[in-house]
Amino acid sequence: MTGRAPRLPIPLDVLLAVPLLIIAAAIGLVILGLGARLTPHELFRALSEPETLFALRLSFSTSLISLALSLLLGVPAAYLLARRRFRGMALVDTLLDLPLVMPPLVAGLGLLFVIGRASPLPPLAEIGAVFLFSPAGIVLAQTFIATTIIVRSAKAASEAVDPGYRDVAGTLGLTPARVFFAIDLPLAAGGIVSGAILAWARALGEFGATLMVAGATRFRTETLPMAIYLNMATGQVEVAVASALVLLVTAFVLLLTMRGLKRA
Amino acid sequence: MNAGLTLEGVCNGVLHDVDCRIERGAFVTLIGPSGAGKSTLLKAVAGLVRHAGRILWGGAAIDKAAPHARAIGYVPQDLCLFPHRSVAGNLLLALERQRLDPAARQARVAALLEQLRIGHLAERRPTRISGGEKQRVALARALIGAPSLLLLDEPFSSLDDQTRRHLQGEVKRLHEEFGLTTLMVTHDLDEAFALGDEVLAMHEGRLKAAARPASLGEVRGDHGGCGPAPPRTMRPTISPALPHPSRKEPHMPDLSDNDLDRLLAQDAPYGDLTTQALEIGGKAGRMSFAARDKMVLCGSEEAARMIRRAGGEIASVLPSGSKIEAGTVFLSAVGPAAALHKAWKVSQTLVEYASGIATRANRIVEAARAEAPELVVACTRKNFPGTKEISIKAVMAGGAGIHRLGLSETILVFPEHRVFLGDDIEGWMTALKRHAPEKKIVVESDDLDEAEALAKAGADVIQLEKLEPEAVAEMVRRVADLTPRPVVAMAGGVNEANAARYAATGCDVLVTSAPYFGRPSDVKITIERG
Repeated sequence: MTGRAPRLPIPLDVLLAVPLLIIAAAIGLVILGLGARLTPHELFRALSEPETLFALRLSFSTSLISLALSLLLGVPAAYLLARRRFRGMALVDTLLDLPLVMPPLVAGLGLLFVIGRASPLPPLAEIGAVFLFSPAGIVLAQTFIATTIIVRSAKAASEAVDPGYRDVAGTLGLTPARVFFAIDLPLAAGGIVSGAILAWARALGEFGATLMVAGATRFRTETLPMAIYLNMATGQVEVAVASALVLLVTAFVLLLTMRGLKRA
Repeated sequence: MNAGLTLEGVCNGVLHDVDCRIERGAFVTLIGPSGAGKSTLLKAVAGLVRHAGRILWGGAAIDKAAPHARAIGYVPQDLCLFPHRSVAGNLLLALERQRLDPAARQARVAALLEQLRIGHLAERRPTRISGGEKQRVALARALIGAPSLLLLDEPFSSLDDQTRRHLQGEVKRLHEEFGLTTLMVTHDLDEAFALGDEVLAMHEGRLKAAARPASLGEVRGDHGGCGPAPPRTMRPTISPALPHPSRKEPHMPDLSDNDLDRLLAQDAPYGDLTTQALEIGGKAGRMSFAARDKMVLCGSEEAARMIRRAGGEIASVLPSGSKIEAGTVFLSAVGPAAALHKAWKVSQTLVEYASGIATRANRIVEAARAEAPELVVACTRKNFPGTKEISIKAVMAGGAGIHRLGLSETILVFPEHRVFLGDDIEGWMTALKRHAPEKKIVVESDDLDEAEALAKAGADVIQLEKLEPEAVAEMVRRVADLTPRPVVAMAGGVNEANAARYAATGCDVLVTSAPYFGRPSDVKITIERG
């Protein structure tokens, strides 16, 4: 009855509020630090710089392609994992989780070696020529990271769908493929979209794996994170900060979208 | 042929060797404790769980077919209405595979929703309607594809009493209107016996015929001469594995009250002295009858009525003709020890003798029908003198017919009659037909040439006596071209061992006395304090 009623703060609350304030302040200060670094005029100029615009375009195009590829690979894989049990499943499951905890730099290093000139599988080296140090490499690195996030969330979403729906749909004359599109996919859509937003955010911010596979070449493989890195290295703070602020705003919008979706 | 639903040896982790046969058009209810495997059984029929064994519907095996190819209406316990589609959208999904243009689909959905009185809900989401409405939507969705088999898993369990009663009637009406065969799981005994033409019980993955609890009214066998006859639904009439013989022979005779009183009086005219002397007659008791071996039951109604006449009450009883496995309890009664002890031995003995005859008759019928499904097995009147009524009932319970009930009603010309007649077969045959124009003329002979001559003279039935199967086959060939073709019956020496060989000859009837001679079935009686 009193669960929602406001009650007077007790001394412990005051004590616990201190770390909360520290965390909130830290985040606020980081944003302030970025936002206050440039005057609005400087910011506008930095945003109009060809380099910033290039990074913006490249980041958004590669990350959206990567997201599409991740969905195409991840959703069917997740559906299979969610509804079938097979031998070695625990192993596959663990394997799929590895990229989530693996430092992206390490993932990139592995990708570089497996498609590089000294690849243990020589045919891969030929394909690798297309990807290495090119925008295609950015997509490869981002997709590698994003797919596992999609698999994770889509699997959870598929598992949350009562198998009874699937059973009934079958008795109503729907083929398994039709059941997937008419029943399972719409019912799991919420979870899949949340996963897609997270995956997209990760792809946008991807740095380590991209650096290893695609390198950091100005006006070639220069995504927003790469632009920050390159420009900070050469002391051109304006473009770096502008890029950082674009990423920050995008992240904020994505977070709001997710909140909105969850409420719907 | 039975084109209903047949399960043969269906088993998986939950189900154990489930056999049953449900006739087309039947409304069958399935009861049992939770976890017994009722839902799993429905899912097996719908194709949603793996299992061994065969499932046939309409004579065709469906167990290898995918669920979407089975055309079975299925309403699961939690309904599973698709929350992302409107009520109409739920139904439309089930019409996707039908070749209909969109307008026709819409019209069909609207018509069915209207029929179930939920037309006004068409555009609503299933999450925003009441429990009873949801149930109607689920029913409509299962029926829209026009299935002929409907599976319902506890459809009324979550409804209030009034809605439940409404929907029970509705379901029964739809069952009739759509010409469905319905299998419904319920945990409610009243509902099971009120709705089901047949009631099956499931226990630990095994299927049994259900016994009607005493609290739900009297069994048919207890019903005396006065008052209205109880409805058919009051009588559990399913036996696993076999179509119930009593369904084909609904007029299996019952022994009269007089006969039962006489049997009781012969055994215990003044009750069981031992019980009286021990002064335990007033103590409450419970008595159950169980088959010791696989048998075809007969006389259970009579046993139940004798117990009632002695002062006991019947808790449950299976009908005569039930094919039961060893260990099956087919009769249970409660009452004072004096009543139970008085009826105990006499009712047990009656069931044992009658079931013995029924079981042997059934073996002959099964052996013969395996060769010739249309063949009739008829038993003679050579029953033990004085036991004709129960013998006839037992023969019928076993699935056989009766040859002749007596001499006064049928015409059977034996060689022993013919010794007094001349050689002019045509002459006496014509005279006989003039005397009894409405009777069939049956003649018996053990000689093929003579039998052929009798057939040509116009005998309706040729009864061959004690001939080898080869000779019977020869006779069948000889009369094959006559019009009208006489019926060929084989009598004398037919038994379980040779029935199949005689059946294979192509003759129409096997006449046998063999079921009357043999060991009674073994019934185990358990009497406990109750």
